[in-house]
Amino acid sequence: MWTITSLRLKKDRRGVSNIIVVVLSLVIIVVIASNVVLWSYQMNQLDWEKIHENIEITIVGDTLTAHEETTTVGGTNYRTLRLVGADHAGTNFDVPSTVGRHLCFRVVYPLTGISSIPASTWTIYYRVQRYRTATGAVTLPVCHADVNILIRKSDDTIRTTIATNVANSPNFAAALDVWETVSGTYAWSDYSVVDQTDYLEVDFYIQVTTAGTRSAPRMRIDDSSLPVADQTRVALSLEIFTFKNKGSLTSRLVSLWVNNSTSHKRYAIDVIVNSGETVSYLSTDIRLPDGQYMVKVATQRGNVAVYSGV
Amino acid sequence: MKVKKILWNRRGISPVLSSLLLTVIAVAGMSIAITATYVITGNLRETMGERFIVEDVWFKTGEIAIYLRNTGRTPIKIAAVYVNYISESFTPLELGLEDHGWLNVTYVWGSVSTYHINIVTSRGTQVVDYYKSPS
Repeated sequence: MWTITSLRLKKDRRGVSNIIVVVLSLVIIVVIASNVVLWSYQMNQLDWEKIHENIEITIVGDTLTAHEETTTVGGTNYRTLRLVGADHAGTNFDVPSTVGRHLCFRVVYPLTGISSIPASTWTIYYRVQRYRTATGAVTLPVCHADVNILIRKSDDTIRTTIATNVANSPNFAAALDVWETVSGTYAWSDYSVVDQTDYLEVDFYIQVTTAGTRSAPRMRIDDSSLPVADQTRVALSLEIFTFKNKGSLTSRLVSLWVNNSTSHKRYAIDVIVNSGETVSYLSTDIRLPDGQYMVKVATQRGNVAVYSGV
Repeated sequence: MKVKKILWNRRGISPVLSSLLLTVIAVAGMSIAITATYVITGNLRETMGERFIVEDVWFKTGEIAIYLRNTGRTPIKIAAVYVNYISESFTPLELGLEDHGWLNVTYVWGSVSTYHINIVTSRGTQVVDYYKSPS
């Protein structure tokens, strides 16, 4: 059979050339089709990835407000620092009027998703009062507020003490039973987070330098009836943007927009957020405008997440 | 001796020449076919690989500024911009891979109005959306 076919092919040269032409044409068609199919597959994959990406801006802010809610760290309860304003009726922390440095409360902020805290100037605001403790003639105590700043591990041990007795306010000046807001500043140096399960801790103190009579000082937190300017808080001169990846793919954030009615400003960023992860991006270069604003973040795949704030 | 034999045998030369000629023609034909294949698939790939997004739209005095980013696998060139289905003039914009920039469209817009904006590339890819102007 093979011999017969070979002989026929040798005789019929036109047939051979036809086969060669057909085979070569087929090769070319296959090359074109495979190229198109392969590229189409790749672009479909790109589109599929874009569709399945889901990034969200959960919170934006530059002020950590002291809240009365507690955070438990290794079995110990601490008050909580949050990026939102006060949302409760308020809690007072009374301290003795005796001379000395008295702890009011300790607040923590989780360092989850934060790789470093850049150098910046922090302004710490204290809502304080010298109140009457008994009837009779009153001598007001001489006192001021300050803080300790440290990094606490998740097992409740101290990783490092950043600063002690800093951000000293001026002496309280308001009259008896009158609330006032005082402040002090602290120059924060760049800190690389060792473990993202750690907490930033700020311990609020009132230091009495001259004891009073029938009057003692106190500090108040988480009073939603107060304007933001009067709340006990830590104003960072940097912005914190928190992104949550709700999709099934890792997202790369490439640009961040801060818009208001007069300005649209784009900042190039490079933030990787794994699937299901929440990452905080801290920047001293970006400033949020006063009034109403909008923050947008764009991913490398081309999705945009939006956050509106005031 | 052999050369003389070949020169005398003219019937032997013509099949060699014809074979050579056919080989040259075949090679040339294949080259043309391969080049055509490359060009056709290249164009198809470029058209299929075009992607871009609108990152921001800013209604400025006398113009609409649109910030574009090339998210595809090929450079793009903006060929036309239609605002409410009417072609408008704009500053030329070409974006390389992962490139981004402002596309300034000359347009006198009214406050609190909705505009249908269609951006078209030279290969025909379109990004269309509605945008509301501020008050």
